[in-house]
Amino acid sequence: MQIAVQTAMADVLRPMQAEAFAAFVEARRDRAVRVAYRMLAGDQAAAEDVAQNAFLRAHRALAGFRGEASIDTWFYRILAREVQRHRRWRAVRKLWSGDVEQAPPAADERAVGDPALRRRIGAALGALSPAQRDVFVLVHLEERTVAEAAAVLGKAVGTVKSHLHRALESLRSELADLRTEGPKR
Amino acid sequence: MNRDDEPERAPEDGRLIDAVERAFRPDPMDPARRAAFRSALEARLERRARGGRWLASGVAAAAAAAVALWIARPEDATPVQASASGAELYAFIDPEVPEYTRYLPDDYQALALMIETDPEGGP
Repeated sequence: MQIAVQTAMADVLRPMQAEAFAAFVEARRDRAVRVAYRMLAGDQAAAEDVAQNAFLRAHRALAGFRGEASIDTWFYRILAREVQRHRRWRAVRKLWSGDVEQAPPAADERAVGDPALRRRIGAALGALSPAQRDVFVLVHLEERTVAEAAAVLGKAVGTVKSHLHRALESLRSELADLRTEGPKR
Repeated sequence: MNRDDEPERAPEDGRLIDAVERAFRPDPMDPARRAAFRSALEARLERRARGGRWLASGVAAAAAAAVALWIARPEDATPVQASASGAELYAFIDPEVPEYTRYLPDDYQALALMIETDPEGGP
């Protein structure tokens, strides 16, 4: 009897939850895909998959969200974990099949703007360690504070600052021309 | 938002970061891709919800079956049956023969009978 009542309540609540969740996804989808794209050094298809997985996990975990962090920090933590999981899976697949790491698919060819510049930046970001790239993306490209980036990535603030310094150092030499000229369009 | 802990950024680094930020973006999702993203996500959510319901019903059915079997179990346990070989063994025991000779082979049993039985009837 009690189970039947609970099921009926869940049936009433489900459409409301679905509506709220659809709004949650709509508000964060483009940014989630962009963050994942940058963290994955320019793989658009993988970025969309990762963003979708992150939303799926967020849906499962939403009931347990206790408001200890902002909902955005909470969600981007899930997204960052999904990116890391994707990298691990890609590394295992590469090891298993003996494949050579492939460049991101032909997103560059469809790109708005300068495909060559995009490719260069993708290569320069791809040359960073994953931790350096994640920190650079969150702090410099997504304008998160160092403390927020540390919370999202589950790292100490000092570690984040150190990664940030090394990332910028590496990009200064790889993309030196962008420091002096305006971006090529 | 507290940005006091933000690293200092030289103007040249600022230019570099701005250039990367502007140039390194995914292609904007057109309405068709947005719809595909939404419907794929909804399908996965629905599939998971359905899977969860099936799993819950399966667990409930298994639990109900276990309870039913427990309730319907027979009250008296069937006694353990003596094996046929054991019954045969008892049937061959001759109560007249002293017990220790039962364990002897036939030849030795015959010898034992000769030794222990007095032919004149005396001990």
